[in-house]
Amino acid sequence: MSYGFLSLNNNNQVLVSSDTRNLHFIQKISSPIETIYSTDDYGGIRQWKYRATCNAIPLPFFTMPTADSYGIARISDVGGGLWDIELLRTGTSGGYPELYIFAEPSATSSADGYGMIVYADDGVTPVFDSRLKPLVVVGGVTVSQTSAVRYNGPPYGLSSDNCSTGPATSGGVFTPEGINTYSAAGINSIAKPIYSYNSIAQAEIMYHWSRSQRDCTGFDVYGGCLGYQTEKFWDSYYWCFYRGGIQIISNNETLNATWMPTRFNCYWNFREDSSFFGIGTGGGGGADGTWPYNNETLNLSGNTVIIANGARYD
Amino acid sequence: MIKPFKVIKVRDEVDGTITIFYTVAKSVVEDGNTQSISTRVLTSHTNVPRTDNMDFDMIVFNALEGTGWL
Repeated sequence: MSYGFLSLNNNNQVLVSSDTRNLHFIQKISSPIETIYSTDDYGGIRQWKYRATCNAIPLPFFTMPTADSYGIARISDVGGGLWDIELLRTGTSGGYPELYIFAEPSATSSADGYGMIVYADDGVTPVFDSRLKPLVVVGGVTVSQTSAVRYNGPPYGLSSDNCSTGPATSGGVFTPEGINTYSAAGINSIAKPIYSYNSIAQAEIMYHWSRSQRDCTGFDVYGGCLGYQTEKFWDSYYWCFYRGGIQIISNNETLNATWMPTRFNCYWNFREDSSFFGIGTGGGGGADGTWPYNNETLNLSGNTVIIANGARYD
Repeated sequence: MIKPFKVIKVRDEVDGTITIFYTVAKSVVEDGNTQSISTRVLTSHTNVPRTDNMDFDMIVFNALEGTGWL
């Protein structure tokens, strides 16, 4: 490098470089602007929308004030320097996690007259600004979710007839079981840990209960029906959609890669046929509900959790 | 015993496990009326670590044992 600025530590690791975009603290957001989805079914699901003001792509960190699972579900540019950040959390507890927004220094400005600014090789774009609070990473781990959200199917239980168990009350059979555990040694020594984790892994489970019933009002002869017969067919497809999350177990300083239920529903159909001495006399049926996705698990590649200390930015 | 289930698909997972998809069926007499017969069917799956010479039927049998389907 003929021109520019490079700062290294004792281990030759880059601290500040004019060739990289260093992330700086932009803002802290204490509560969402909208609750997108909330239910206490399935152990509790919360999906909140936070809004950040940032003139560059934001990198959000969040606190995990409870032992529930968390993950960033979506970051979207809504124009005018505004970004919507959706955060998922399991559990039913009150209160909101706090968001800390980081971005390259061009995303904000400082009126402070003292400090050091490092520009990129275009001489215009700031890549480091000591007047702002640069992101200090204090830890990190690469995690991935299990392939299986649950290891066994449900017991004999849900109704096959018109989703009559109710998708909300079928939550027990969808409780996620798959957890991968990682060390988070030293997490308790960080004054206020904040985490950056994008929920990329997705999974869906569907259980299909069906039932057919034959009623013979004539004579039942060796399994055949002489006379009037009706046959009814019910199908109910109960399903649950999951996103990957992380969970901190502070007692033993471990971090879990978990599955978070995010949406659930049920689809059913019914049909009926009747016959008289084997001659069809009519039929009918119906269908309703929300059609499921397919049984699948996606995006299981390693995903990085970055840990910082939020107390530096309060 | 006639096997009341059928393995319909086996999928290798990226983390060294396999998922076995199956259907299981059971016929019951409704309300004691032998002229009203119901056949109940469940499509489900189970996930286990991959090993050599796996007996998929036995894995499904073990998963269903005690659930009311067998």
